[in-house]
Amino acid sequence: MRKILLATLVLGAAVPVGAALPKGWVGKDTCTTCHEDVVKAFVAGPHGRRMATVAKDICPLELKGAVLDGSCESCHGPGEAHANDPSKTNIRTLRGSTRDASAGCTSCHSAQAAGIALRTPAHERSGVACLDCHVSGHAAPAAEPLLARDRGALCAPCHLAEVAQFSLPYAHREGRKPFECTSCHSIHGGTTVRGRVEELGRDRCVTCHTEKAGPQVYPHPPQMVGGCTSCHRPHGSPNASLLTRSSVAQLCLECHSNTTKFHDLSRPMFQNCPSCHSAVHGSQRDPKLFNE
Amino acid sequence: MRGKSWWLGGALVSLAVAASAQEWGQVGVGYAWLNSDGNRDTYASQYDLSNGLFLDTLRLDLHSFFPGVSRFEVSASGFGAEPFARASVRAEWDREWSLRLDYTRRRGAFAPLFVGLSAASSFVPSQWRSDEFALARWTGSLAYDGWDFGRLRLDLRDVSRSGSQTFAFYGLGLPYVARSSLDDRESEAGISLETRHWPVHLLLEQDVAWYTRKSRGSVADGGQPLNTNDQYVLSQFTTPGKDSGTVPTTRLGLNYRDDRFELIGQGLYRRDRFDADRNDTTGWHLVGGAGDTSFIDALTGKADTDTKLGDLRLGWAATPSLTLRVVGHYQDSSSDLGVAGNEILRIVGGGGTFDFPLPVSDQGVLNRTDKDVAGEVDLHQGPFGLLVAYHDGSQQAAWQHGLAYQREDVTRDAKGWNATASLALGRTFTAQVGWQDQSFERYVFLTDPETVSRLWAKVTARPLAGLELSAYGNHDRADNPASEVSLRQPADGAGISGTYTAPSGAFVNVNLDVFKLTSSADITFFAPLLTSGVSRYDTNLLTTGVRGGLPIGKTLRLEAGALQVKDRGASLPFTSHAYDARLEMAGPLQFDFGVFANYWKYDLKNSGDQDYNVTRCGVSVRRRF
Repeated sequence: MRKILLATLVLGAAVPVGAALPKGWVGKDTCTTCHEDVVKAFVAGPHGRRMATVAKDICPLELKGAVLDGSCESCHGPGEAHANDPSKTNIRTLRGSTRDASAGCTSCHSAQAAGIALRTPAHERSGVACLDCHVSGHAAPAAEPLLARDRGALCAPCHLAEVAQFSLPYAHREGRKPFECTSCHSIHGGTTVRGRVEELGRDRCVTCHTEKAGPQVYPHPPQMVGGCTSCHRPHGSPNASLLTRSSVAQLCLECHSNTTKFHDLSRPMFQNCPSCHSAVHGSQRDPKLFNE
Repeated sequence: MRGKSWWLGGALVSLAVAASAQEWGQVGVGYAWLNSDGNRDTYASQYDLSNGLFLDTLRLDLHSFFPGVSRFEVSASGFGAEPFARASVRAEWDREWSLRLDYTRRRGAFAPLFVGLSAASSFVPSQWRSDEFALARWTGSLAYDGWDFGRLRLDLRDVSRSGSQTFAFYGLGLPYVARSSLDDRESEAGISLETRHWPVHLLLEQDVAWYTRKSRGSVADGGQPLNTNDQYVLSQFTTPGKDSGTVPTTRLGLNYRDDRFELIGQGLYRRDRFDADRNDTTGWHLVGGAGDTSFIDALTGKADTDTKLGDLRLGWAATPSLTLRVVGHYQDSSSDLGVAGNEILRIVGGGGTFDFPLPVSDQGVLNRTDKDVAGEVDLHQGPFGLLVAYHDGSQQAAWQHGLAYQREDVTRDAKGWNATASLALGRTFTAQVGWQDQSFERYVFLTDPETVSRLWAKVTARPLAGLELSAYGNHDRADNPASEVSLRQPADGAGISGTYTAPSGAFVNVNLDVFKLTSSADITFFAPLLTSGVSRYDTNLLTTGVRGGLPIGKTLRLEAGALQVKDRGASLPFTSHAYDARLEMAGPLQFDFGVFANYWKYDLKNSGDQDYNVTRCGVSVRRRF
C-alpha cells in the first residue's frame, strides 16, 4: 500500500505546469514519493508505454497530453485522501475480484465495459473483474493485451467444465493448439469484422465455416433458427463431427419422426441420413437437401 | 513443398534480423517422427501431428529498432509438421498509428462414423467419406489515434478453404463415391470510428463481406458402385457453378456511464445477398454400349436476408451498492428465397441425344424474430454480490421450404429467473453460485425443452503462495411433455483442479472431472411397421489428468503430462489416452536443445474401426538473442 501512496505522490508532481488536475487529484510526483519502484515498473511496462504514446487522447479524464503523468490516479482514483492518510481504504487498490476494481480500467476502456455488459453479462454478475484476466501494468504480462496468463490457460481456472470438454475424443481443433477461447468468444463484445458477428448467434461458427453461412435457398431451419448447437457440441463430443448423438439417424429422427415410411430403418442406407441428404446445412437447389 | 520453403525461409531471415537486433528474440525448429497403427483417419481428425520439420517458435521484439517505429513484434509457430500454424505482426509508429496482422492456418480432416453402412459388403470407413482441408485465415487492423475527436480503424479479414472432400452418395439406387475439390473464400473489410471526449461514446462501423465458392466435383474410385459390379457406372460428376454473396453491415453503438446512470445500446442492420449459379451434372454409363444417362441441374438460386438487431441496457444506481436495470434485445431476420431453371434428364443412345427438361420455379421464406426484456436487481456490498433477474421473451420462427410445402409458423414464449451470488475475498478466495430456471410454452422443434433448470457453483482458492485450488459442479434438468417427444435430459458435472507452482519453476497440476448426461426422446421407427421407439443417449465421462514440470540442476527441465478420458455410458463407451514428455537442456551460446515424445491411444469398446495407437517423438533446437 505504501508503494501506491508513493506512486500517487510522485506521479502527481510530474503533471506539467498548467495542466489542471481533476478535483481531488494530487499528481504522479506525489505518488512516486512512496511508490517509486512501482511507478518505474509501470512506466517501462507495456501499459505505461502505451499511455505515453497512443493513449494520450483516449483517456476521457481531463489529462490531455499528460495521460502518463496522471496515470496512477487515472486507474486508482483521486489520491488526495490517501496522500493525507495512507490507508488501504481510501484509495482504489484494483486488487480483488470486485467491480470497484474494474472501475479503474473502465474509466478509459469504456468500450470494453459496454461490450461486456451487453455480450458477457455473466462475467459481470459473477463478480469477474478486469484484473482476473489482465495484469495492471505494474507486472509483466504473460501475453498481450496485458494478460495475466498465456492465452491457452487464461480461461481454464474458472471454466474447468469447458476445458474438460476439449479432452473428449472429438474436440474442436481450434481448441487443441493453442487453446484460445477468444477464437470464438468475444469477451468484451465485438465488432462485425472480428466476429461476423457475435450478435447473431451461429455466426460465431461461420466465421471459419464460411461455406455454411448462407443464406441458402433451401435452408435447414435448425441451423438458421436454433444455431449450430442444435446438432453439434462446439467444444468437444464423444461423437464424430461433434454431434450430440452417436447415431446420426437418431439425431435426425428426433425432429423428423413424421418422415415417410419409405425410410426403412432396418436397411443400412437409411441409418445414415447424410448419405442421401448430404446438404444437411442447407441447399441452393434441392428442397430435400440431397445436394448442396 | 512451397509452404515449407516459405516458412523455412522466413525463419532464416528472422534469424538474421534477430542476430542484429538490439532487443530480444528467439527462433526454434524441430523435427518429428511418427509411427501409427490403426485408423489413421480418426487420428487425423483428432490430432494430425505428423512427420517432418516444423517451426517450434519464432519471436522478435524490436522496440525503437526502426526510425519512428516504437514497437515492432513478430511471432510465429507451427509451420511444417503441425496442423495449426500461426504468425503475427504488431507495429506502432509516429505515436499515432498501430498495425496488427495475424495469420492462422489449420489443416483438418474428418473421418465420420458411418456405422449403419458398415453392413455394406465392401465398407471401409476411411474410404467412404474423408475431408481433408486447409483453412487459411488473415485478420488485420490499422488504427489511427492522431485525432482528439476519436479513433479511426480499418479492419480486414480473409478466410479461404482448400482441399478435397470424398463422399459416398446414392444414385440409381446404388452407392457411389465422388470427390469435390474445395475452393471457398470470404473476405471482409470494415471501417469504424469511435468517439472519445463526448459524454456519450459512439461507435459507428460499416462493414462489407464478400463470399465465393467454386467447388469442383469429379468421379472417384472408377465410378463403380461400392458394393457390386453393376451395369451402371458413374461416368460424370461435374459442378462447374459458383456461389457468391455480398453482406454489408452497419452498426452503431453508444455507451454512457456516470456514478448514477448507465446507458448502453447498439443497433445493427445487415443485408445478405446470395446467388447460386449451378449447372451440375451426374451421369452414368450403361455397360454393354447401351448408352449414357445423366441428370443436369441447370438452376439459378437466390437468397436475400435482411437482419435488424437492437440492444439496450439502462441502469440506475439507487444507492452505491444497489443498481436496478432494464435490458432489452430485439432481432429480426427475414429471408426471401427462390430458385429457377431446368432439371434435365439426358439420354444418349440410339444414335442421338435426347433431353427431357423439367422447368423449376420455386420460392420459400424463412423469418425469425427474437424479443427479450429483462429486469435486474444488482446488489453488491464489499466482497458480496447478488444479482437477481427475471426475463420474458419470445422467438417466432416461420419457414416455407417451397411452394409445395406447408408453411410452418411457430412462436415460442420463454419466461425465467436467474440468480447469482458471489463472494470475493481478494484473490485468495472467490466463490459463485447460480440458479437458472425457465420455461417455454411452445416449440419450434420437437426436441426443444419445455423447462430448463440449472444449479451451478464454482470455488477458487489460493490459500498459499503458488497454490491454486478450484472446484465446480452443475446440475441441469431439461424436459418436455409427451405431447412433443417426452424429452428427458438430465446432466450433472463436477470437477476439481489443483496447481502448485514452486519458486524454482517446478509445478504440478492435477484435474479430475466427471460428467454424466442421459437423454431420451420419443421417435418413430418404420421397420417392419410404423412403431414407436425411444432415442436414448447416455454418456458418463471420467477425465483425469496430471501435468508437471521440474527443473533439474541449472541446465535441464523436464515437463510431462498424462490424460485419460473414459466414457462409461451406454451409447459409445471408449477410453482414450494421451501422454507427452519433453526434456530441454540449456546449451552454450544461448542455444536450447529439446527432445519430446507423445503417445495417443483411442479404443472404442464396441468397434475396432476407429481405434488407433500413435507414437510421435522428435528433437528441437532454439536460439535466444
